[in-house]
Amino acid sequence: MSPELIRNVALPAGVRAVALLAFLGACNHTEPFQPSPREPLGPYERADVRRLTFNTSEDSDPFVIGDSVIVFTRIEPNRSDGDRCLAYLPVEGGTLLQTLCPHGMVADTMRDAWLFPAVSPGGRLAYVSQESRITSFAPGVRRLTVGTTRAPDSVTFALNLPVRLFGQEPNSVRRLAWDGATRLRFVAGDEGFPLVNNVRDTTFSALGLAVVEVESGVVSEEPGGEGIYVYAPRADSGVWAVDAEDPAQLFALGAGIRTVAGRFSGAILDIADVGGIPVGALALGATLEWLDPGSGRLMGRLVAPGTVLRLSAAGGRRVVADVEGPLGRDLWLITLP
Amino acid sequence: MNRCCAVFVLLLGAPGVGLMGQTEGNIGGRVTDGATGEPVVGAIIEIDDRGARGLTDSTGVFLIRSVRPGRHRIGISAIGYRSVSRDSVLVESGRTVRLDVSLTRVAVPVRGVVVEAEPDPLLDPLVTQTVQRIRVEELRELPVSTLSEVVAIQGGVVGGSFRGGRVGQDVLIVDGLGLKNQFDAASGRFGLRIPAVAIQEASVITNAFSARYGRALSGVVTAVTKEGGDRLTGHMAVETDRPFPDGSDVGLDRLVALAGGPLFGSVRFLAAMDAQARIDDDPVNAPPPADSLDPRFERPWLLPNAAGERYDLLGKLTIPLGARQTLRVLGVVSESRRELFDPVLKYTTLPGNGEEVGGRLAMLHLERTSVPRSDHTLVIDARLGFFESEAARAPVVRHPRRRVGAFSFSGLEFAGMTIAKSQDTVRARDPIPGFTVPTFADATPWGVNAFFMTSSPRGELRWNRFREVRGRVDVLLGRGRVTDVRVGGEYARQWVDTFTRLAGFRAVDDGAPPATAASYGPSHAAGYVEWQQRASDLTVSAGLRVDAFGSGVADAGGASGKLAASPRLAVSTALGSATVVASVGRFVQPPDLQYLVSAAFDDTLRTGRFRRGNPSLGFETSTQYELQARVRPSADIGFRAGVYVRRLEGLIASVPVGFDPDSAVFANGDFGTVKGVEIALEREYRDGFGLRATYVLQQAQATATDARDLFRRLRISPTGDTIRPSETAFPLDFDRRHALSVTARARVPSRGGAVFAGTEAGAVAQWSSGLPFSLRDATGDSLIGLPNSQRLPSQFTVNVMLRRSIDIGATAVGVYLDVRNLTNRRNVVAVRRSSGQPDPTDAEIAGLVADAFEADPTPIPYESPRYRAWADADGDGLIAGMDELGPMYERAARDFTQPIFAYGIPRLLRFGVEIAF
Repeated sequence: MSPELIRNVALPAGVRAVALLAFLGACNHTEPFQPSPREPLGPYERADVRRLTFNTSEDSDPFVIGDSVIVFTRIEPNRSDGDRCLAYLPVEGGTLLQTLCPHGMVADTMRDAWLFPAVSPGGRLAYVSQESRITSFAPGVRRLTVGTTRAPDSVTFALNLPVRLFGQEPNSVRRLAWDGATRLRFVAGDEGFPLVNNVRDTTFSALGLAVVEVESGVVSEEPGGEGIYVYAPRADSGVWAVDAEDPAQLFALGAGIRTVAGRFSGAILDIADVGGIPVGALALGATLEWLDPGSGRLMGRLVAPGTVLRLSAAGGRRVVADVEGPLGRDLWLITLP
Repeated sequence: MNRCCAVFVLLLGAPGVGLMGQTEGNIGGRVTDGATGEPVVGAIIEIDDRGARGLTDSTGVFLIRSVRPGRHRIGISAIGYRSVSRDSVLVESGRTVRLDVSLTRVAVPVRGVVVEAEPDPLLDPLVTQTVQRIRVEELRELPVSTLSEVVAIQGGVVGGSFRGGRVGQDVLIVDGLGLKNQFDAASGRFGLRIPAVAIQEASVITNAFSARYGRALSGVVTAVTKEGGDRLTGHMAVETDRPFPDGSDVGLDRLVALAGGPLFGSVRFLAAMDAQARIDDDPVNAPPPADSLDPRFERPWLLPNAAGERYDLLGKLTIPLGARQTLRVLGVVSESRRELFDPVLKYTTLPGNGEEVGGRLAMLHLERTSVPRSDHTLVIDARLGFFESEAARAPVVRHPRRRVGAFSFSGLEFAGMTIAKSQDTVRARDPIPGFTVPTFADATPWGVNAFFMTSSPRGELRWNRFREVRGRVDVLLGRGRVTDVRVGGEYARQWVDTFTRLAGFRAVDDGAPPATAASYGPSHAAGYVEWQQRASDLTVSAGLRVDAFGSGVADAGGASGKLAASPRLAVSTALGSATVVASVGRFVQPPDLQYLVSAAFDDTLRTGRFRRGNPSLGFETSTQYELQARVRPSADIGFRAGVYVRRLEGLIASVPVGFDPDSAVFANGDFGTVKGVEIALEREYRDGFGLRATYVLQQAQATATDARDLFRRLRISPTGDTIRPSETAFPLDFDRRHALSVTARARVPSRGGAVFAGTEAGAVAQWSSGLPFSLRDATGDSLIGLPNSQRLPSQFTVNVMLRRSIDIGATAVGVYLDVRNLTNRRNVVAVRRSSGQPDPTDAEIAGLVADAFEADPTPIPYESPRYRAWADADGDGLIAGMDELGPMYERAARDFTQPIFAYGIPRLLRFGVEIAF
């Protein structure tokens, strides 16, 4: 543009200055770089028997929330205090959504544990919390706790153990499962850590199935639940159950009545209700078996990648399995044929 | 008339002025009868219509001392003569404006004539100091925005160091009152900034500075603030770098405003504001990283979490109290805050550490001048000032929200500051609320548990406050035109409060060092007498200053007050066509008060050592000898050359205590010698062009000051004996050998129609050789060679200012472009002591990788947020072993060790629009 033209179209200098300021104000500044958020990875593979966790430490006791997310107990591999934390993982696998540890993510001088998580339809998180010194083998404090999935330590209910059940005082509970919004089932038992021939006996000795009302705190035995050491809630609010007296025999327990529902080919470590079908994890042979819920007859069998210690139904014909392999305990997603 | 005669006549005719003051000037001259040429005796000289300020003597000569710099209206009247006046007579500090006046009889219908002549400041033998002055026009036309930038372009000044001394050996004189953050001067943290728009004149004096001023070893910076005039005037400017492309836009926004004029009656006011904000407050010219996964790879220009803002406000009232007295009330408030980018926190979304520094000044200045007499002058100045500097550093709770451009208009919200300000060391035993336990960041591109954290592992909470009430009285007694005597004194009461807590995320019971806090009240007093006498073409200036200070530390244990006398002598004369000045002076300053606090400072100098304070520290001293010659080879060209030697004694150093290699106590243990040559060539600004070039050749050597205390003058043995090792000389930290600075101003002549007509240009080019540094061996424990035996590369910058103004009636509208580091040269300002280069060596990287892998060899599984597919070489969902984890650690190490702050500023552009009325 020539100077002459500039002069011809020029506005008064004051107006030009104001216009210039307005123009400058309309510009935006350059922004600094920002570290890009890490996008979570999808499933590692798409197989019907799919490994979900790959670490060399322990991932255990999965519980599937709404057929989409698994909450489970995880030992953070590089924590000096050996705390057991709660972790959340997409049920299809991929990157962990969140890990929450007792007293934060930094190791301290206590060995704390959040175990056996179970989430109610309303989002309440039940789990067993344990505290002990790093140098101590047995937990010093153990309680059945209810918090929230976002903040497990925002405790709304706590049941200190031991409690009086089945004529004894069991000091441990396992296999938590909600029955509705306020009723929490669990298997009560003993985990006394006695010294037997200079070896700590860490065996959990189940006494039976019990219930606690988290609103009132009332603890009671599940009618017909004595001796049951594994169970799986059914859609009709009854449970599939196995009694320690006959660890291959499957019962249907409802309204205090036990009904024989079938028989697995061996002792069962855990069972799950997969779309109404009782699926059992055999103690020997790294095998899952499932029975016809009507006839009790064996419907199928599947070889698992290791010994399956826990099962949690994951919607459809899927089940999340806590599998013990040569590198520790990992979670697998297994789709029944 | 030849040049020699001109000087002689000037000396005879010019007054014997007291030029030792740095913040006032003089007006002198001769009043004669316009018809006969005879001197007019008893003519009255008025300044700014404030009544008689001076009288002519029997030879018609007058001299008015101690006139504030700035433009004044001078009136001359005598009985039987027609009065004359002269507007806008510019007075500069330390100089004399000469007015020769021819008066005409009342009966003659012709006005008198005033001839204004400025005595040659270069050849004036009454000027015994090396004064580098920057006037208000230069402040406007040169690419400088702050007083510190003004100081930085003067010869012999390197980043806060004057003539080879360390940072903190200077003092700032604001309108005649000396200000210094005596607590923390060594860090250069002053707290107070005088808005540049409010400065009438600034100068840097590096030798023979007046005995009026103490607390400085190496230099005095003066700033004389403007005053409101007879009519309302104002100036406003908006600056920004928004229109410029990436790399030149560092998120700068600046607003400058000034207004002044009559308030009521004869009271005048001045108000100024300078507000600046930048999204990246510490822009660097570091090269982009080579790794494409690094987020800086695509956008290497700005650093996140590095925003800064500063606000400077100044208000001033000038209240005439009768014809002989003036009261000035000055208030300055400065606040600056900045987030501190930390490479450790590069990959966290949480804010990192921040720093806030505030300064406040309130000053009363009462000036009283005597009834004008031709044979003597008495001027009394009384000043009372309150100065406060407060600094805080702590984790920032949340990112400040930017509201307008880079401005947030809000302070940083710090964690734990309530505890710090209350100095509550008991509450501070617990983890400080708001501090986050640092864990390794998992959002890095590299995945590994190394180098990058979620919060600062230092967990630093620091706060200190320095307050001072200082009063001083200065008396100027002028006898005739040949003798000036100044006497005066000052007293200051100071208050120091400190708080420091490290690892604030952890309780003291869990191993964190306990908080330390201190409160004490040092005091400082000084008195001086200064005498200047002229005899023929010889001028002798002599002064004696006595300083005293007491630490005020309660448990001082023998810390009695310290006393130091500082004699100063300067002799100047005309030799042929040159003026020669020789000076010798001793200068003292009390130590930084932070070094007095017993056991309050851990790692004060950030070298991993624990240093104990010492309340018995004494003055640091400097003795300077200088010889200077000044000549004017042509009417426009001036040349100045000088040599100097400075002996620095009793400097503060840390001295080991016993066998503990990590424990030391502060002592007056360092000494050094600075030798230098300064050459200045100036082409006066005339006909639209001016240029000034200074070159400094300097050698600054020490026998101590090394942070690791490898060499020092004194060692204290475990038995308490003093050991004097053999003397070894090595460069001081600010031993800049060569420094060349060229300042130029030009103006395109105003010819109608030319596009660039009236455009003003200012440029500052600086080249300097590199500062010294120490090279360490691979272990980091031992030096290679002597301390400071290596040199950084030389540095070069060119800054340019272009301005175009258009007058519209009484209003001037202008635009300007300010360019810093025009050539975008990548100046290296720091290197790694292990490699001598900004970047680490491959061996260093390998060492970091090995250490990091050893600290955490845990495999990274697929489900971990740290899993990176590119590192899983065998694709088994588990990154394990050195083969797979090693590359992750290496890329992380290279990212972490990027030498971001090893480089100076990039090319910075700012565009401004201004309106003046």
